[in-house]
Amino acid sequence: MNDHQRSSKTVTLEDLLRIKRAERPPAEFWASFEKSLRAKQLAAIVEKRPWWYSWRPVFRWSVPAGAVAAVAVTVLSLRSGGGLAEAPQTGREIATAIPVQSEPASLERVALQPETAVAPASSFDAPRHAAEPVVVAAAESVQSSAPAAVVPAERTPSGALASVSEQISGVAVASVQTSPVSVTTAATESEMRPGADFGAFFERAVAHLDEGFRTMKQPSSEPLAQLTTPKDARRARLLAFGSSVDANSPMYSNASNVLRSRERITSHLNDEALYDSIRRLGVKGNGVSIQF
Amino acid sequence: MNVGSKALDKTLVASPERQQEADSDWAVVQQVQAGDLPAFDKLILKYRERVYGVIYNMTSNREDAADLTQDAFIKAFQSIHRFQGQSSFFTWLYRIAVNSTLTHLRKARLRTFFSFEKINEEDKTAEIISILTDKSGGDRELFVKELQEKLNEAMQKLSIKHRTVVTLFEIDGLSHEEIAEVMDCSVGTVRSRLHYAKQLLQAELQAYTRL
Repeated sequence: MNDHQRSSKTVTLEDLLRIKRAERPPAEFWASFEKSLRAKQLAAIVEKRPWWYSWRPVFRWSVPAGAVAAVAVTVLSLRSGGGLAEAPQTGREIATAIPVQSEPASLERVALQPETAVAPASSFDAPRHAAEPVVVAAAESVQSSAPAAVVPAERTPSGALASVSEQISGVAVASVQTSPVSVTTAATESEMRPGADFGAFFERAVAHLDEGFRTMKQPSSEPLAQLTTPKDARRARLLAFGSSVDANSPMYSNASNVLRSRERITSHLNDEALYDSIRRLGVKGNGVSIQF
Repeated sequence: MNVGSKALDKTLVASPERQQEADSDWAVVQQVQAGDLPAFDKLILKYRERVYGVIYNMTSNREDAADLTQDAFIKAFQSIHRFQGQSSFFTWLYRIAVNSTLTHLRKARLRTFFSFEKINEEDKTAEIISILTDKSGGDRELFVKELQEKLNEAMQKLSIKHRTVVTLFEIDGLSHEEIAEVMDCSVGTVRSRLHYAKQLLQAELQAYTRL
């Protein structure tokens, strides 16, 4: 190509970029390149990266965020649904409360808890009393002068528990009149542990109580067992009054004196039963005397 | 002409040869996956110049280009057991190299240190340089150096993505479809970026194209 031809030819952008393509390293560069590449390759083989290495940028932000989220979820779950997690404990509490009915002092310990509402089983309404302690009792229990079982409502997991409690209350009332039937004996150690199957535990407890009820029905027909003292009758009357007063009812919303008297009655009943039980116990010589 | 430049020429020809190349690469990859680790050296030898060329033209720095090329091969070596042959090996390798370079460029955006390779004056390139030197009327060596600087400056004025498209298409000779696969975007996006980048380069280098 002569000078004239060269000068007449135009250079395009593609031609200029072709010059860029021609920029290449010298041969000796590849020798050092291969050497360092080999070293890196060996290091890569020896130091095998952990599986999470490629997720490093994600972990940098997600781990603190995840920890915060986990704490938030835990706090929320404890606030809103804490009762569900403690459902087995509720079962244990019921189980311990039921045999207590034959021991008035223990029963009063349960009844003395603040915000304790006494209600007959017929008026038991789990959703309505969701914020109040659930009282497992029956109409007959008034006659037998002892509320059946008191379970804090905030630990009640669902309405299913309420129906189970109603069943238990019916059976438990019968046990009050005779020797106590310990539900705890119906439950095995594994069932009493937190986290155990709550439903299975209740089924066993109810079955055991039911069995006890059937076997103990016979002695209750004895004339002495059917006797009720005037004190019991009074207590039953007061208890019936106290249970018929519903603090949430619009009828009693403004009647503060009625509510106050209900509290007084409840307190009186509790104190009376407590002192009654203490009076019955005594020490005589080397033995302990029990007054019937 | 060494192995790398032969391979570079191959990429500029039609797709049957590219397919043949992909098949031979896949055979080597299967060897490596089967435990024949030294077989990976064949792939390094075959593609190192092309990969280096792409990275060098994206970074305009020979030291960075060398490090990033090595890193790309190491990453490919580490994850070769995950390569299933759904794309050609060189597309997969290019994707690793381009992504590593893009990450590097985003991190070192403020650093503008250029280092040039020597122009390998072969047939066509020598002719173009001669034409430009004749028209400018200056010293050839000085002119080449100045041209190199101007070309690098013009390339660095492009955005990272536009620079990558120009490098892969005009310098490395990949097709629009291959660039779309490497850059994980549509062919239309590749064409659009290429058109825009060429307009910018034309404006920057008009002093040479109008000589």
